[in-house]
Order: sequence, then C-alpha cells, then structure tokens
Amino acid sequence: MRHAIVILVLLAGGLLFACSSGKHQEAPGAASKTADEGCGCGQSEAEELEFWRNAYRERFGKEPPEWLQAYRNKFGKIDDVEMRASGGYAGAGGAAGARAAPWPKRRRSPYAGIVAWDADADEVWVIERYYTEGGDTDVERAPAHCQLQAKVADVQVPMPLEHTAVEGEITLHLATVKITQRYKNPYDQKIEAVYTFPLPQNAAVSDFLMKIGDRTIRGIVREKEEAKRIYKMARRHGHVASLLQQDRPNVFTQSVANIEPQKSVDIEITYFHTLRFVDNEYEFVLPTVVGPRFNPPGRTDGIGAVGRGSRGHSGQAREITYLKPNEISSHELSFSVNVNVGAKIAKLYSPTHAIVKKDLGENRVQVTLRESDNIPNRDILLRYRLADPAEVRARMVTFEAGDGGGYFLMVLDPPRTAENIPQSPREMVFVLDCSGSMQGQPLETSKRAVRRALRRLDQNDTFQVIRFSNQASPMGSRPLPATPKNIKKGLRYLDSLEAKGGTMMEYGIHAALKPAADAERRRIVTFLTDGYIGNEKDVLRIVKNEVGDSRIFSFGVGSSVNRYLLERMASHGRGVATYVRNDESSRRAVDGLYKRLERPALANVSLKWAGAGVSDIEPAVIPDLFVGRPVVIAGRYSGTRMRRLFVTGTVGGKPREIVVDLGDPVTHPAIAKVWARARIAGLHDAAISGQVSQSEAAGEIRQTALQHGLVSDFTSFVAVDSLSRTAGTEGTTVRVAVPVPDGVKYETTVDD
Amino acid sequence: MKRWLVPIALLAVTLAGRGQDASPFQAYDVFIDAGDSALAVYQVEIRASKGALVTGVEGGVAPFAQAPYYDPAALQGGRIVIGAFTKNQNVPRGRVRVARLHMMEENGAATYTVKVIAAAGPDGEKTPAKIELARVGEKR
Repeated sequence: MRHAIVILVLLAGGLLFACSSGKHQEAPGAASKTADEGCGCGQSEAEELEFWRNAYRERFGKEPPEWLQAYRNKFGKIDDVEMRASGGYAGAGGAAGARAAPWPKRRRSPYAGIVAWDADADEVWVIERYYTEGGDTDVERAPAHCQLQAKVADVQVPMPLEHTAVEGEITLHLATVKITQRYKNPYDQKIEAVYTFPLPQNAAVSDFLMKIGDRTIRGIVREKEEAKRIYKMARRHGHVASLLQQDRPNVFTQSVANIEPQKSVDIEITYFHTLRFVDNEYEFVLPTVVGPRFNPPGRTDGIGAVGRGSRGHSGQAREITYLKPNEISSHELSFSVNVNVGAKIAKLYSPTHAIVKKDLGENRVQVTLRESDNIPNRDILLRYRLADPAEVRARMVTFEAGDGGGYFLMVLDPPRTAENIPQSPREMVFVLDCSGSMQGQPLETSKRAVRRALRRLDQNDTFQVIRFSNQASPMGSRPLPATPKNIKKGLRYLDSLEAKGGTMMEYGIHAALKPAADAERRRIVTFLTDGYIGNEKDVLRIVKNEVGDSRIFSFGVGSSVNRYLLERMASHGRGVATYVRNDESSRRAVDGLYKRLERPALANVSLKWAGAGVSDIEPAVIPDLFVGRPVVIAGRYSGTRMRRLFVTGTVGGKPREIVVDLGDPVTHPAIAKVWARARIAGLHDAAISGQVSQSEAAGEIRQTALQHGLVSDFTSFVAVDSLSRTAGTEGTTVRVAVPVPDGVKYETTVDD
Repeated sequence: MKRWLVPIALLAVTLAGRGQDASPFQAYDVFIDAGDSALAVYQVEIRASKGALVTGVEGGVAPFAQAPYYDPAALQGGRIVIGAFTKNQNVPRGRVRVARLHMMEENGAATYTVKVIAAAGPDGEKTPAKIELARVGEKR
C-alpha cells in the first residue's frame, strides 16, 4: 500500500465539522452548547467522532491515534501528492460517511483539507468540502473553515489591538511590506498596549509612523536604552507615545502609551526583505504569531509564555500572553500583496491560506486573503513560479550611495549542470524535538519525515535517531548500519516517541555532534523542531563550536516555526533549512534533502569580482551551493560597476570555476537597508563564533543600524506626540493576548 | 509645630503635582519663507543644544502635510536633517509651515540653530529661503 493514498472525502456540509466560518464568536455569557450537542445536524459530536474512529479501525486495523480526537482542521493545496482514491464523496448535506462517488484515479486535488496522515501506510485521509464560488473564477476553490474537535463555547476577549493590515509589494526577489496595527482602547480608563509579534528574520525595519487622528508622526531611530528612556518619560507625563523594540531578529514588541478610552492609535511599520527561492519557486512569508517559547531553568532573558491573568509567571524579560483554548481575540488581519515581478507568472498560490487573485494587468497580480481565513495563528505563505525562470533572475540589483559606489544584492545560482557524483557513505543523524510544544501534529509530522528518510538510506550509510526534551537520548549507543533489520528497529523507536517536557535543545545538539566522527562517513545531522526556545544565542553558539565538518539540515516543523533559529542553525552547519507544515506531505522536504545530499553542486565556494572594488560581503563565508537553493549575496562596491563574477569551488573534490556575466544591474532603493540588515546578521554570527568580541560586534551593529535607520538588538524606534497630553499618570498596561499557533497545544506550552 | 508645616506643605504640593508635572516634551513648528518664489523642495538642518532630543517628526501644511523623511546617518542627539518635496504644481510661496518637530528638553528650554541646506521651486531651480522655528503652545 506504499505510496497509495486513500482519500475519504466528505461533502457533508457541516455534518462532521463544527462550523463554516472558522470562528464561534459568542458574546461572553451567551448560552453555549455542550460538547455533546454537536453542530445541530442531528448527530452529536461524540457520534460523529465515533464514526470516524470506526472508519479508521476498519481501514487500518488498529486503534486510531490521538489526533483523530482533537484535530484543528487546516486547508492547503497538496498538489505534490499523487492521489489514488478508493473513497468518494457524498452529495451536499446528507448522512455521515464516505460515499461511493468515485474520485478519479491519479487526480491531483485542487484544494483540500488534509485531516490526517497515516505514516505507516503512507496514506492520507482527506476531508474536502467543496466551496462553490458563483462565477468568480479567481477565487481559489478552498473549503470553508471547519473544525474537527470537541466544541466548547469560545469567548471573545476584548483586545487593544483591533486590526492588522498588511500591504506588500513584491518586485524582483524583494518584498516591501507595510504593516498597520490599529490599537483601540476598549476599556473605560486609559491604557498602555503592549504587543509582541513576529516579522521575517531578515526584515529590515526602516520606517515607523504613529498616527493619531489625522496627524502622523514619523518615529526616530535611537539607541535602544535611550529610546526606552524617552518612551518611559513620555508615558509618565501622559503623552501618547510609541516604542518599537527588537527582542529577537524575528520577534518585535510594540508599546503604545496613553491610549484614552475608545480612542485609537495606528502604528505603521515598513520593512524590506529578500524572498526565499526553493526549487524554482519564490516564497513570501508573513509570520503572524510567535510560538510559545521554552526557556532553560535559571535564564531570565528569554521569552516567556503565559496565559491571560498570569502575568509575570515566566520570570522572563519578555513575556507573551496567550489566549486560552476557548478564547478568541477580536484582532483581525487583512492582507494584500501585489506581485509585480516584471515577467509572466506561471503559478501563484498559497499553501496555507485561501486567497483571492486579481489580475492587475502587465504581469501584476494582487493577492488578498479570503475573509473567512484571517485568523492570525499561522504563517502566511505565498509562492510563485515564473513562466520562464531565466527571465527575471536579475543577477544584480544595486543602489548608488552617491560617493562613487553603492550597495548590491545578487542571487548566486548553483550550477545547473551539476552532475551526479558517486556517493560517499554517510552517517545520518536524526534529532527530534520531543518537547511539549511538539505534542500532537508536530511530532507526528517529524516522525513521518524521519520514517521516509530512513527508508531512503543507502546500504552503506549508518544512522542514529536522537530524541530530546528535558534530556537527550539516542536510539543506541552508536550509529547503526542501515540494514533492513536496523531500519525496522529505527521505525519502531520512532513509534515509541512521545512529546512532553521542556526544550533543552543544547542537549540534543551535544548528543548529535559530540560523539567522535566516523572517519569513513560524513555526518549529516537532520534537526527537526519548531524552534520554540528563548535561548537561541546559546544554541547557535554550541552549533558553531561543535559542528566541525558535519552538515546540519534543519527541518522546521509546524505552522509558525522560529525561522530565525532554523535558518541560522543550517547556516552554521553549512546546510539548508526546510519547512514542513503539519498539513503537508513530508515527501517534498525529505526528497529535497536527499536530492541536495546526492548532488552537492558546489562546495568551498569563493568569489572574485571583475570590474569593481567589492567589500563587506554578506554572508562573509559563502555557503555550499545546493541544487535548487541559490544563495543571496549582499555587499558594497566602489568605482565602476561590476561586470563579471568568477565563482570557484569544488564538486566531488574536484576544482570547478563558473563565470557569471552580471549584465546590466537593476536598481532598487531598499538595497542599502537590505545589505545593512544582512551585515547585522553577519556581525551577530561573528560574535557568536568568537571571531569578534561581543562589545566590538555590538558597537558595529549599533553604528550600522543608526546609519541606515534600522531597528536592531541595539536600536529602537520611538515616537512621542508632545502636543497630546492625557490627564493623570500612566495608564494600565494591557498585553495583547495571541492564540497559540495552529497545531500547538496550549496545555503543554503555556505557563498558566 | 511650625517647623513641620513647611515640609508638609511642600510634600502636599509635590504629591498633588506628581500626576501632571511640567512635561519636558515640546513641539516646534518649522517654517520656510521663500519670499516670492515657489517652494517645492526643501532640506533643512536643525540643531538643538545639549540635553534636547528629537522624538518625532510631523508634517506641516499642504503640500508638505506628510511627515518628512530624515537622514538617519545625520541624526545625532538634537541634530536632524529633514527634507521633503512635492510634485504638486500648486506650490506655496511666502512663509510656509513645512514640518513640526517633537523634542524632549531635559535641561529646560533648549536653544536651536537652524539652517536651510537647500530650497528649490518646481523646476528644480534653487531659491533663497529663510527658516524659522516656533515653539508650539501646549494643548490639553
């Protein structure tokens, strides 16, 4: 039954599912249904659940797993999955169960709600609910939001963050994003609103506006402590003021002081970032929620996760407040991104959200979210593929600094002619995060990926499986040869893994990298985690110090992964980061890993530029080039523009040189800021690895950020309205509570 | 007994004033006067005495109503270089409020040095202009 995928499709309009809008917004105190009342379709939820449990038993001959009882449905495209159906779908309405209407063989489902995977049999169960759009062909055919879970009445919690509007423009491989957060005070006394939110880890935050009524004040970038002092002073004196601080490269906190009852203040943030490019697809990512972080005992500089009403419980410098499972926020999200890449787009889709596409002409497309899909509880991914990939791969984008030089950004493609080279044996180490935040779907997703990877091992490889939570423990005392018998043993070990406890990631890294290396095999470490830790710097330092000649390929698992950690781990380990959502096949990620291992396009890369003086290249050490994963390089130039680039390296140990004709550059005003952000990341890395001292790095980061007007670890934006002074002393601080990311369990992650 | 009255009276005054003591935050309007010439572009430098910091930049009147940009590289303590331009054909002449600065003055009222770096009309032709900084009265 391998590779066969069984689909059980249900079009039972609300029969099994709890809702069609994704939200149960009941006013506090409103009468609520009990879990057993079901959705009003005549069948209780207990009965519905039992139907599915029986179906599972019948299908797979064993007891259904936990996810069948508490699964939050998500929808996504699964076009990378070939389907062979043995199920069908029912007509509109009707009774429970799969009906006999056959699904065409080997048909690719346009859009479907993936309910679950059975990894042992490589089977997927899909529950799909067609959504018919009257004549609007641009609307993605996505199902309405549904939930398969015990239903309890949701309580809408008033929040000072009313709305977040995201407007983006993608040109070339760069995104310019404007985020407008509307803070409104729903209480009867003045407040300070504090909201911790994520941004892409490479976002160069360079503009900050505070809007009060029809007045707009542009914020000023200041050294972090000075900005905080100004803000506190303004707050104490009753002025409306705002402060934007960076907690991590991908975590920011916005504070808005002295919002009077029923008044609102808009904060507008603008940032730039480069897009990911994977296997001929550009990927735009908008994270919407910070996952609940674990902080090792004794640390106080992490990011705590507490429930509403539990402020201060975590003991961490920064705390995020999470909504309880039966609570929903009034905070909503709107999203509009224009894709304007100057070339024909062959494919544009979101694997995570239902979107609406509007053709603006001249190869420009506007993408918005469907109204029913605007809960900020998972990353928004947008991917596009060009009709002719060679058309727009602008190799060089520049920005003149006015001093006879400027900044540049270029995409370095791996050689397309990389040949298959004989494989040297590998020591494959799979490290699974089995902490509480991985409980349920994330760990199941990790297991699926590792199962698939184990089955693809070469007979000359060895393998090891390591789990970690509060401690780390390997499957065996040493890596095992990849014999069929040992692989079965590995699969059984995977089955036994459970998720609970803390995330002592450093133990997992030690366990993977500390043992003596096998002289005959290159160690490849695959690290599967959601990255929900508050001590990223410690972990990255250990990776940097212990990685040696090993390679690290990080797998981010879940809906709202800590991409900063995953990307930097892979970078330090000269590998690449890959992401697998809970509702996604692991096939693409695992096969991609093996494709890169089997075809390391160019290693030990160095660059030589012809035609200009080039300096301050980021990344300072060019990583290995892997098929389908170009490297973005930023730098400064002086004199005349660059003409050609000579890329040298090795393939299979043999020297290789590639000459890249840089052509005519395209200009983009954000390049200097994008370079500055990359420079800051490089300085952080240098400090972590001890190449420069902490104070030296801090000084240079501060100077770079101030020079380019960027938020950083050492600089913040502050804005004060000296004209609007509210009565009385500073108001009550209200933290904006956020949902735990989709697929993450509140009970195992939040300090309540 | 009288010896205690004065300190108690002072304490009472202090506590009473704690909620709304004098704020160190102050706004200043930036005016440019290009005389009879039209003003479409400007760049000015404003320098405050020690102890004063810029805490925000706001726009002025149309067509300079949008908050002007500043040069982050030139920003140092109380020094800021701001500038704006308009493509609007109906550009103002005479004295125009082009921006408003929000300042924090920790050492009492600061002194300011102002300078026009550049001013030009719609055709890009440079024009002589004067700059003036005016303290804005506090609004409650």
